[in-house]
Amino acid sequence: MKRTITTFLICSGFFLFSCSSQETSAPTKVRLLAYDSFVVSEGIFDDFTAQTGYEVEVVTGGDAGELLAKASVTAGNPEADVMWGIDNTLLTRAIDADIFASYKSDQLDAIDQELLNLIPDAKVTPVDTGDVCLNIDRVWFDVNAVSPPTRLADLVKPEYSGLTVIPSAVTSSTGLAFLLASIAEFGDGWQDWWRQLLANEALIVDGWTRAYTVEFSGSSGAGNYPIVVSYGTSPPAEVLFADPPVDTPRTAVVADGCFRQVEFAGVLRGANNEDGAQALIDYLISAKFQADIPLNMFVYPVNNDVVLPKVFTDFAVKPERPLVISPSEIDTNRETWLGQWLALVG
Amino acid sequence: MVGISGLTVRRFQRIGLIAAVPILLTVVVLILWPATNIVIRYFRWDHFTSAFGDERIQRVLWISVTQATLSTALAVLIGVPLASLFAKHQFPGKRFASALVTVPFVLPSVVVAIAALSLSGGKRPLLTIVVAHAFFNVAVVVRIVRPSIASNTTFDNAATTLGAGALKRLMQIDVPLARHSIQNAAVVTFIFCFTSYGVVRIIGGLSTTTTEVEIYTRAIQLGDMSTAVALALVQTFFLAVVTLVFRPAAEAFRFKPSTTAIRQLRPLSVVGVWVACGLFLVPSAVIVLKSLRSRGNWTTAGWEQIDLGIVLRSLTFAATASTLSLLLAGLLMVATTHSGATSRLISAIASIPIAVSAIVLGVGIVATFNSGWLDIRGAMWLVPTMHAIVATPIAFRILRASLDTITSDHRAAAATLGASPLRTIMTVDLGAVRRSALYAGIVSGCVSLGEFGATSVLARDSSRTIPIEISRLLGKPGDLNQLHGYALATLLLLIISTAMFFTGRSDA
Amino acid sequence: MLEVRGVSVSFGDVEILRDVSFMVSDAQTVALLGPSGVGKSTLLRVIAGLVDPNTGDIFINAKDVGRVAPHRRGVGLVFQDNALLPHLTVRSNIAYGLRQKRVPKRDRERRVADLLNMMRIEHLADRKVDTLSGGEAKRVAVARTLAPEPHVVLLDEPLTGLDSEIYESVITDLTSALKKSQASVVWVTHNLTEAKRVASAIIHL
Repeated sequence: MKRTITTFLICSGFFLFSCSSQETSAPTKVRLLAYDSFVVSEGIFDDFTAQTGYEVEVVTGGDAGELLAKASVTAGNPEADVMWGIDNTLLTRAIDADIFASYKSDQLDAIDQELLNLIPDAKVTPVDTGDVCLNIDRVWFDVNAVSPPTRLADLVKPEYSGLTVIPSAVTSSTGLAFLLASIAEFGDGWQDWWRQLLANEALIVDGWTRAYTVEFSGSSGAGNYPIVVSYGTSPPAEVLFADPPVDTPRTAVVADGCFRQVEFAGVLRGANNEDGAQALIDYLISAKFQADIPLNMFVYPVNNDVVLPKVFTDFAVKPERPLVISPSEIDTNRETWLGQWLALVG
Repeated sequence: MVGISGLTVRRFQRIGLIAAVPILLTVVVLILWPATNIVIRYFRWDHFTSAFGDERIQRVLWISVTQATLSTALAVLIGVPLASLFAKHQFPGKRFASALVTVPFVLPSVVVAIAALSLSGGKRPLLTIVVAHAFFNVAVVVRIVRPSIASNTTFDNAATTLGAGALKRLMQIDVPLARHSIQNAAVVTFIFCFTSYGVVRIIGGLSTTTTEVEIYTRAIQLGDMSTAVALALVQTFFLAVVTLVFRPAAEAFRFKPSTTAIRQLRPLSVVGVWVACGLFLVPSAVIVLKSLRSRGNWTTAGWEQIDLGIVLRSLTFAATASTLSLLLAGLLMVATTHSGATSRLISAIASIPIAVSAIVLGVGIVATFNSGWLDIRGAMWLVPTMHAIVATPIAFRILRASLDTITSDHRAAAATLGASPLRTIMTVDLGAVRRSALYAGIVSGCVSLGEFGATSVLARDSSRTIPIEISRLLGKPGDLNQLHGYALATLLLLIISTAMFFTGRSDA
Repeated sequence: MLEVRGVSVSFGDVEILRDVSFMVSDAQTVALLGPSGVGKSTLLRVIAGLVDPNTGDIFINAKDVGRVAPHRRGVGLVFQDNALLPHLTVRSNIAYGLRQKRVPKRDRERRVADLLNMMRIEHLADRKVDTLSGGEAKRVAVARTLAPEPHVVLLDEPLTGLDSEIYESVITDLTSALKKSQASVVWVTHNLTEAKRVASAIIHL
């Protein structure tokens, strides 16, 4: 028995080491660096390979913040050719760290000008959008005969005391987006509003996972808080991944007071395969690839030619007038705001 | 008392130095170099000094020390009596009970944290963290302390005949005799708790955060590498002082192996032990339940989603990591067979990996090995190698604890029987730890199975492990994703418990 | 044949042995007699090569072994606490020295069987050593020391701590096994009667 185990260990060791040899540098591949939650359909890059001859290797490693930290220390000598997932809260920091090489695709027609305006020097290309919005547990509000909140300002009202759970702005990108939403909504009065919110017994936790899947009453975690900070696209997931299956989600989105997150992809400066990288950017905004995004990553495509899946049109919310702060303003003030916020809640 | 002749000592030292070379190379190349690289690039003296003036950082450091001290105290308080019980008594279900106690140590922190949260309801974060950490680390204490109590049962039997009660025997015989192992166990536990990331981040929320979480926040969320590096330096320095002051003590009192050891436990006590060990089942039960229940219904949908490819990959990584860490731990043992300044230095260098911030290290590796043949960032072997490096100090301490049964007389006896210094090391030192080697190997494998921090930074899409997948799934809305995540966690639990159960048997 | 010539040992300022000399011929047993703390054990360790003397020489079969490492000296030592290897069975402990000499398996097994028989411990062959009684462990330790057929056998208070009945049976088997081995034997004891009984010469330390 012992001998078998030892033999197994040794063999598997050799196996692993023997197949770890590096590929050669002739660019037959394009490497796409993305956050851990990057998911696409099987074979989605087959068309790209057929058109360009390049294979796509997806390289994941951490969340967007970690990717940026790693990319910053390797600027000019990157791990991959293209990076996916820098959002508008991180964009300026990424550009200042000089990790991207400019590339302007000639296939931007189907993308809103408003999104393109966010980008200086064509450093990156928008690839998807999502909105950080309040979600509510419809059942809880029905059962308790309370009318749900309709805007951020409602959260400090006495009838919503002890009902809201929020991910921390310091350790969670969702939380940061919500803080920015409050700043965009209340301007200089944001700190005051947060003071009232805390006095109204809102719960602040480390991240989205605990907030949504443990504390929120509408998710499978069946917690005690019927209002949570999540996404405009969370309800479709509650239908698609329901067990037992349901026709309508138990949760709903509060359409007012959402902060829009825009995610970008860019060619990394010093890319091994720059031609492949540029071709991949074109492909990432093509209707074919963009149509694959909603049901895999639960965000909206930027390509307006894409027809949204029914579960999105039925249950997701894409606010007409989301709250916005420009990337450069976010970057300039992030530390100050976070410091002030920490002083309030910590 | 009486030493060994100069000639032989020099030979042992030479063998030790040769054995140290691969360890030093690994640590220097994969840990020190990348970490130093980041420190040199981002260290700013003014950040360093201003960090200490910052009230929040002072509080973070204070909380780190407090929670680690309390967690260690609680783990020792529970672990030592359990170790004594397992060492001295026989009772039905003993093997199962001892596996139960060991399992939590190797569970991914995300899972333990969520289980602890579900039980505590999010109230009293510091207390919850301390309990979760103790729950994690009781296994370490039991494992390290148990062999040295087991080798001292003669005194215990004598004391029983003299009418000493159980508590008195524990306090006056087991604890003093096993005090070096208890110290070893406490140091390991303290370091784990001090550098704990996942548990603290999830349970602690905003108010209760520790150094490693703050390093993450500064480096990743705020892009403030300089403060992160300053904090990481303080953390490493502090832990280095702790390990040097309480370095692994192997030369405790040596006692002859006892002739009779195991006593039967009274039925009433057996029930008590079962209840106590059963408590360790509670968090696991929470996980199992979450994998099978959705919205008040029973379901196996989460289990049906499991991708065996990821499970197999995790197992392969674990097997590789455990082989490698056994090799490193074995070399380390050989390198430190003879006490002396050199062997202390080697042992200190080998402990560095657990004291270096995983985040700084991950970023350091990416930044350092980024060109030409040095570009190992995507290499398949990187993840299991990092796992092995993380697991080596643990494997070393497990091996070292069972080396306590070997005295210098045993080595001298081997010499007079014709064994050269090298043969002596192979047949006496390594021979004596052979049985715990299986255990150390499996613990290392389990550490690899549950490791999250380093993997998260270094893993590729093609090298995702079970904990990474769990964390990804729990980070998405929808019942199925949650069920799937908890099903994977349960599977991990099952794999690890089975492994522990079988090592328990070979250990009996 | 063993010759100890002018051996002195001190640890720091403490003098343990001063100018000790004696000879033991083949098949002879010499007893080293003296109260505890006079350096009897140290002298054995010097002969075995485990401790370097400050001055003096050790000759085995007329050859100076001062620069010969312990594992090449052909000196067997029965430790006072036996020092049986805890992870090996009785059988493997006895076979240990034979393995180091790379004695072929068949010869090794025969030799171990002989010794098990000689020391009357066949029934213990597959036991773990930590389950043995004091007398049993001593028999194993002697068998293990004799197995590789050393030229010199050193015994460090081999019978101390055994109760009288066991003492008698162990001393009988032990002396006959030693006689059979033809080795030069140094027997350390603090018991004059025992010294007279086992040795042809007594050296007082």
